[in-house]
Amino acid sequence: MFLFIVRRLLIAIPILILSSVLVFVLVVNAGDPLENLRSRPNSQQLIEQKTSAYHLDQPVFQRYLTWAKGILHGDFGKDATGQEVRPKLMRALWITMRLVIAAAIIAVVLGITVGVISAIRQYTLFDYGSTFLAFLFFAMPVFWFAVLLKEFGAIKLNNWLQSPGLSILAGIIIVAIGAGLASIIFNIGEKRSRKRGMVAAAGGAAVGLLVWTLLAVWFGGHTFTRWISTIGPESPNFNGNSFARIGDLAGHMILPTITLAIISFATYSRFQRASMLDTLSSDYVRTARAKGLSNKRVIFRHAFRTALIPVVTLMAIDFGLLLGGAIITETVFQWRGMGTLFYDAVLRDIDPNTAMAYLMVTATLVIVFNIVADIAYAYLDPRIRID
Amino acid sequence: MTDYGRRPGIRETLRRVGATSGASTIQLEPKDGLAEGEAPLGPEREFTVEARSQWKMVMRRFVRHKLAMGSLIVFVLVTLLAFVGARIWKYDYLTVTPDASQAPSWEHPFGTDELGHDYFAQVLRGAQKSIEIALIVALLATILGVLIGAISGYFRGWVDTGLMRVVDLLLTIPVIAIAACLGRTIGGGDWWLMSFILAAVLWTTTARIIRGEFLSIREKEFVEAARAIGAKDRRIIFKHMLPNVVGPMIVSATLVVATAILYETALSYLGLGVKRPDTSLGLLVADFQRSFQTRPWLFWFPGLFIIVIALSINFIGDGLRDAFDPKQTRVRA
Repeated sequence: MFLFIVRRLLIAIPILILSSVLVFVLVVNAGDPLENLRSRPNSQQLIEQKTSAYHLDQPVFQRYLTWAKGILHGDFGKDATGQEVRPKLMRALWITMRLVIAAAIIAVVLGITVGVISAIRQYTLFDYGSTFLAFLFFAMPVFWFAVLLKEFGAIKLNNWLQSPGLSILAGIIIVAIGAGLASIIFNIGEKRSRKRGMVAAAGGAAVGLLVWTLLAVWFGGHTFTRWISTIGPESPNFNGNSFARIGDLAGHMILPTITLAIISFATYSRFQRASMLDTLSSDYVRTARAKGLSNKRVIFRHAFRTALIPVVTLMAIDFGLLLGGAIITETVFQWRGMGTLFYDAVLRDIDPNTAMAYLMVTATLVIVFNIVADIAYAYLDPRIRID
Repeated sequence: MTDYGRRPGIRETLRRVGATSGASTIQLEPKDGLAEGEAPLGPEREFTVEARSQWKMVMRRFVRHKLAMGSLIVFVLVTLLAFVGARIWKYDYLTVTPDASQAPSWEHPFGTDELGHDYFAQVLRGAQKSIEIALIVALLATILGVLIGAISGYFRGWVDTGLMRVVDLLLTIPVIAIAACLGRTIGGGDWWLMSFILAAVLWTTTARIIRGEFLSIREKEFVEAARAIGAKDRRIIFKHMLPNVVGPMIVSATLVVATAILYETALSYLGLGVKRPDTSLGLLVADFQRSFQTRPWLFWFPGLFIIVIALSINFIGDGLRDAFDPKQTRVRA
């Protein structure tokens, strides 16, 4: 195993180098960094200055070597305005990682859970419901969804928080959700029966009723701040204790995280369902059942582990997708993260060093995730030999 | 789990076969004194049932999948509306009418934008472009992905290592970032180039999934058996193994269609997709995302079209997946 990891790391190095070459060529050709200067009055002098400062007169390969030498010393070069890229990058990295990791965790946990349950309960209401939801999420353009979220998740919800109250209808919905969830969660396994389902549903409904009553009492007479925010990663000049600060951060994070997570969630739940169904109908699962193992053991010990394999492959890929998706999400919600950094560097003005910094950090993160996924892959599937 | 309760008995099966496969099969009309509906049960009758090919069974299962068939119909209708309806409709997508910023009415079913373009015509034109782009991208990406995934999963060794390093290389850079750089280089606007760029980047997911499947299938007995009787590599890959990964292949192909539509949207949002005066659904959504408060119809209709198209394609894929997999279909053929 140790050797395997070392070998993977050694392979990762040439990939990173190749990736940086590819990206460098892409970025260098993406536009003319002198474009903005041409219309200036003293353009001749400005252009000469910039050309010598950024080695624009040298061939691409030589520029790459200069850049790479800098990277090896941890120097990301200077951006278009002449400032160091590095501090800017670090700030943006922290903001984006917060968003991406939160979205990834939510998507993985929810997606796998929903996928497994809908495979076990194939062709039930839950299965159809989650399938439809997943397909709906696939089918939605991210910022179309984001606009809806801003309208209903932020503006309307904030208005409601000003004078919260729970109607009877909300009560009915909460009770129904409680009953449905309980009947799904507590009615798996060989003891599964209609009666057991009914009892679980009744219990869930009772809990739902309790929750509704408590919430209704708690909400009565309270007013809340306009908590959900649609702009930026945190309130500017926020002062308050650390507890309030966490609340503020959460209020800002909620909508972008949901926006970023929904597509991944849909992907995970679909793939988990498909692979779980495949596994459940395979011979060795039938053997396990024939041995008389309990349903729970068959599902979680035998089927679930194997069914995770395709999803683990997906995770590594999905991390890159999330980073890419962050470009859109950050633009929509006006977060000054990595995505915005890249957007400005490539699409606003041509700023090769900043774009390169973004792409290199992204590439490194994705490669690390791939190695982790490979290890998990080998660990989960005993048929795959590591040598 | 299999729903054995729904499995038709021999009599029902015979009747269905007789009803669907023409003259060459059994007569079920009452004759020789048999009561109506009672099948003749002689042994020669049972063995004259026509053999069904795999594709026929798949077709039958698909046709009986209600949601999938419904989605297929919806998709065909939307496509017809987009490609034929747009020509019949009284306004062209370029026509500027005197009515600007009007709410939906009989004259303009989807309203008009601020320049007076009939929005119905615009949305139909957008749907045309989006469907074209999505299908081209999905087709190219799937062919490329399956080929590369199959080859590297089957041969392993240095072929696998080499190909997978290429995939790794492409996966290190977010698709949007590559497309943004390339789009910037080319200058954007040419949707053909844009779909090639998208296909060139989106095949990797399919390739990795197919490779994973191949890695695990190649250890199975039937592959060993095929090799033992001297089947060539190409035959084993295409005849023996590929049919076993059709399920994942189709699932990922439908995902690519949906992904392609969404990437087209995202690229249009970044100003790199289809360019005015031509239009696509993504461009319309991107252009009018701020109109939600004032002119909501400009926001809703293209978005709903994207959802309907992507949804129906996904459901078709799901139905195909069920139809291809004899092990877990609810609808038995």
